[in-house]
Amino acid sequence: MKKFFISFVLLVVISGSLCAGFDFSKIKNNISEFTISNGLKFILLEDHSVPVATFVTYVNVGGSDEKMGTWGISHFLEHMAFKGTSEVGTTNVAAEKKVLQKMDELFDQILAEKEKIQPDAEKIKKMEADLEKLRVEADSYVVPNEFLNILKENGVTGLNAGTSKDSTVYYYSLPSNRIELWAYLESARFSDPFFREFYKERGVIQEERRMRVENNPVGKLIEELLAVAYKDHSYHVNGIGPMSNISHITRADMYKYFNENYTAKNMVIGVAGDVTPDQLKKLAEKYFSKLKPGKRNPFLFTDETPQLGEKTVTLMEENTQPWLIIGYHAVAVSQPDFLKFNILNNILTNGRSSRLQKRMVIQEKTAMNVLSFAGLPGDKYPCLYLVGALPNSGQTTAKLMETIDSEIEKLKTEPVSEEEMNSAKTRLKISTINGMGSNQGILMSLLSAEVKQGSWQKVFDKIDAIEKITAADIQDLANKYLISQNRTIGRIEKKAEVKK
Amino acid sequence: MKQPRLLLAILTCIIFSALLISPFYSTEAAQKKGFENLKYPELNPLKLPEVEKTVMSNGMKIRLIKDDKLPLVEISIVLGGGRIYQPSEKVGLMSIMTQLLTIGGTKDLKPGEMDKLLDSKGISVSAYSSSDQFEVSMSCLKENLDEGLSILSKIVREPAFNEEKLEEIKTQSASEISRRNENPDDINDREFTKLIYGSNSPLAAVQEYEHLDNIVRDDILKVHQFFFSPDNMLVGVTGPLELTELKGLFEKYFGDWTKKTQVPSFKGVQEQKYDFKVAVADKPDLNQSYFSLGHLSLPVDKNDMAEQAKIKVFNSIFSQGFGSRLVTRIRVKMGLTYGVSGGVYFDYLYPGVTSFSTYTKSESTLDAINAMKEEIDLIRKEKVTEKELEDAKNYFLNSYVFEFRSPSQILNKSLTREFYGIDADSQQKLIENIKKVTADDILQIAQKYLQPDKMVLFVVCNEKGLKGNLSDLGPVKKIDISIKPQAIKEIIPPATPQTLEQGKKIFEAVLKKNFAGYKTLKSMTMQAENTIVTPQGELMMSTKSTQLLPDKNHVFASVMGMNIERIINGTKGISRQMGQERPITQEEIEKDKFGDLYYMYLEKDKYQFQYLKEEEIDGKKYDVIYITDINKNWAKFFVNKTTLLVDIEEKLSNLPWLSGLSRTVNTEYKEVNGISIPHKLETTVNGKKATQMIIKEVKINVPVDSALFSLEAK
Repeated sequence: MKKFFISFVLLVVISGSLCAGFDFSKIKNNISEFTISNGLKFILLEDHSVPVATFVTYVNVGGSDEKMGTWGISHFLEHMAFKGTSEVGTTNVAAEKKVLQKMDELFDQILAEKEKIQPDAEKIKKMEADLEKLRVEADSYVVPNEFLNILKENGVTGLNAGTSKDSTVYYYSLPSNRIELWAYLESARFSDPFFREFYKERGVIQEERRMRVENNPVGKLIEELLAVAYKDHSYHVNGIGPMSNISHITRADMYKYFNENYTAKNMVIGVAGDVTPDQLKKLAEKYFSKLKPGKRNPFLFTDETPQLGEKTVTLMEENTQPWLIIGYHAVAVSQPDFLKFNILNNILTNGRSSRLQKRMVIQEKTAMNVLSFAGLPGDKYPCLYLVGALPNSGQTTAKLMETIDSEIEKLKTEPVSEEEMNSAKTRLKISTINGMGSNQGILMSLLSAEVKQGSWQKVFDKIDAIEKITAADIQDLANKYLISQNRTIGRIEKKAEVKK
Repeated sequence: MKQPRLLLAILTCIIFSALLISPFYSTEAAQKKGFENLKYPELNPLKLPEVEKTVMSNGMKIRLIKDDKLPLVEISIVLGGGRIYQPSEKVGLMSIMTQLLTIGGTKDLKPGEMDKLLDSKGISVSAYSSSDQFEVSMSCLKENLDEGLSILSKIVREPAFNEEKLEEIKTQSASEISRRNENPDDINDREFTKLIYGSNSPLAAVQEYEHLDNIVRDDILKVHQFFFSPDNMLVGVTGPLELTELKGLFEKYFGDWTKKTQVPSFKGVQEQKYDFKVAVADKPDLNQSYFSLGHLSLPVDKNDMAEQAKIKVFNSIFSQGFGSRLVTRIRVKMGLTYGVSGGVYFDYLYPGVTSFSTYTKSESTLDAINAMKEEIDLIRKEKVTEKELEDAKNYFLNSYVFEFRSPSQILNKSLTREFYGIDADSQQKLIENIKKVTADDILQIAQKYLQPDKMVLFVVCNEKGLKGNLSDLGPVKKIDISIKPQAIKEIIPPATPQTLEQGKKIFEAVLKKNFAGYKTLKSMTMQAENTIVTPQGELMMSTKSTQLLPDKNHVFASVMGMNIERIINGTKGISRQMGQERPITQEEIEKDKFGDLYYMYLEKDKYQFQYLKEEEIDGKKYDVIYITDINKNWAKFFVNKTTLLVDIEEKLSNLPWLSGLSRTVNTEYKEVNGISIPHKLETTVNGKKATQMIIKEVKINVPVDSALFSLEAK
């Protein structure tokens, strides 16, 4: 079967019929997959050119799956996933558990006191002091950063994780002869996590929120825009969560959330590099079988109902220059229209010959820069299509809005020229090809497609799908989605100068 | 903000990461754990691709690593140059030049055409100016390589540096200036760098609006002319092609380019002295403080891999990533921050910076600073543990394979070595030396390279939100980060028949009331005392001028004991000074005339008078008229509604040493023979004092000897 496939590919290459597109067979032929007994699926991309391996664990849980009261828990959990297990990160897990149990009980009491109509501030102060004492005691059993340290001394590179509204993704690379270490540690932390240093880490997350949102003008704007644009769907809450919820999440909440969502069937693991299918299968069965099967979380049934009227949110800032972003309700990545929005990016704002760049940045010089983006805040569910512009000094958002409106009208009334379509499609194809340049990049695309679109194979349909899109498609897209009742406008305006 | 950064700004608002930095740290483990019993096979051998090299006859060096993975070719040209060669009054010149390279068009391709061509073929070109290099890159599909190289060669050899595109970049740059205080991280970086290198150093200088005004197309041409020479170029290429093909294409597009240049060595930096310990910038809208602590680094020899190995291991143990002393203390143990960064850094052409930075909520600022200082003292006092040392060394040894992960990564490292003159085997030597590093070495490095007494602290924060006093750390200096306002560049609305009529009417009213004497004006002599502000200081100059209208003019000036004579006779002129003569061109004469009320009276039809608006200044009401001629010269007259005198004039400065918006305030008007002449003229350029003229004596229609205007040599 494999041999036949290879010779078929060679034939096609020789006959030169793959002129317009890119031959992905080199990559595709090196991808294999298997599922172990508990339902955990592995996708492997073989590449023996360098003796390294990259590992990505994609968990199908994110901000969208959260409930009020524990908003931000997916992200908090992601931080906790680096704190070790009952073996890794501790000198005495039994003693540690005892202290943490006391801490958890005390924290529950603190929360209960705070929730009273007239909380006793003195009592809370005392309880917090006691909590701190317990924390120091718990800390004495901790081997700080042991999980990270083990990976480090074995040569880990590119280690990080990311939580969005759609997913939580963990990734790192090791020299390929360390694959068993990966299997050992990764399966351990996702079957037996120990949420230590929990109370300290809360402080880190609060600082992260301050850095990304509260002290960042555009962070604040995006948070507000999402809150206004979405009324039914959980995309309306910022992924990091509000401070009140970050401060309220308990270890019990977190274990519950972990048990419900970090199950074999609700995650997919990708491996790329100098690894053979046999090697991976053996390690998968040996180490990852202990993960509970669980279930693949279904897509949320709460749909965002159509927006009935234009919405606006304006932030008045003292020390910030104006910003203008417009979010149009669009579609999820699994829908055919999503790719059309990516083409629209190249027609509208990407590249100096694009409509808004040409007019606003180059000719009229009203904007310092323009952008467009499909996928705010995620793309598993119908997202917002964002169009934005930064006014040049002395320009107003009103002027920019006027120009953007007139350009969008043109998209609705006249089809885009053939030249523009070809230019936009070519650039999208090339950036897709570019995305295949790193094994980690390929893995991320494969896993995301597997979960959000049902199959990793969809990644390779992209180039052909791009080719099929027409100017009429773009015109229809504009008429369907880029209408004022479907949009939320977000602005930052400068507070009027106050004479000192 | 450039587009990729703009998109990144949005993306970081929807994806939240746990770590931000890669991990380290270690401690003693009690007993053996499961993973410690794992046995690993030998690492599969590393197959290193070959770097193929060739040099063209004109000196251009080409380096290729063949890479069949994707049908994409990436070309990167690296040149000696960069910000270190930038003059201090033109901050941003280098980066404006590189920006203009790719959008300013070429000799054959107009900017719009080039944009379209690049976009349609998916060819991307970018150019960049760093502190000590210029880089021009091109990437394209293999099938478009010939075209891509053709465009690249045109951009490199004959860029047009279109004036309009320069204006576009300046407009964007001006907007970037206005936005530079939005992000506290940027403020921290920028202000700390200024403290270390000195705010006038090209390594630290921050662009202001006046720098934008000072940068003209001529400057850009000169920079390009000097640095862009084939013997100053190192080219790196990866892609599915052979060296022969690549050579052929480079011969085709660069073979006939024969030019030479010699990039001078950088003069270096001056170590700064401080009479304070803490510099603070107040930003009341923050609830988080950002700070940096450090000093200039000691120099490190670029080929001393033994020393570099020790520094690398030190940085890993002390400040880089999880497990490092600083991250463990301030983020993990104290929970005060999400990120800590820093280390002992060195550069190749100038000293680097040894510094550590983090951010934390206002209330915990002093706690974080003190924790950082304590960690610095600790690592200078006590040896690191064996486990810390071994773990750091193991990290470097085990991750060595990642240095060779991709052809472009390997090529970039090779180019860097070549550019700075670093030994070819430096990577291997570094790894071998890392194996030998001891805890004693680390202590030595800490004591040598971290000098707490020399360290300066910069903080940007909401001062009122701090708990405790920064002055407890030492003398405090306040830093003003406010942005000096820009000279107002107003947008003039298009003229309408109504505004033109209105403008002309006002102009005529001015002439009628205050310049009736123009009708009979034949000659004028004037004596004046002038003050001129130059980069070298204030100069006093006396002038005596004689005019025989309409086109003869003689000025005798005396400044610093030196006499200057300037004669205009019709369309020709001459300037004499210190026995030297220089002709004055017709163009200069015409330009000089612009803005003079008399010539507007004389040749009314050559001008357009557009009424703009009414404006009140210091309690007086003005009609503002916008005047232009066919040569696109412009001036704004502020006509006093009561006196119908031109109290204020604005136009572009014509002073050779100062460009920008010129504003002249005319006072002490006296009527002489039916002509109102201001006897005090004060001119500012970009808001700063430029010249002052005080008229001592004016005589109208006295007899004048026409021989005075002879252009014959004396």
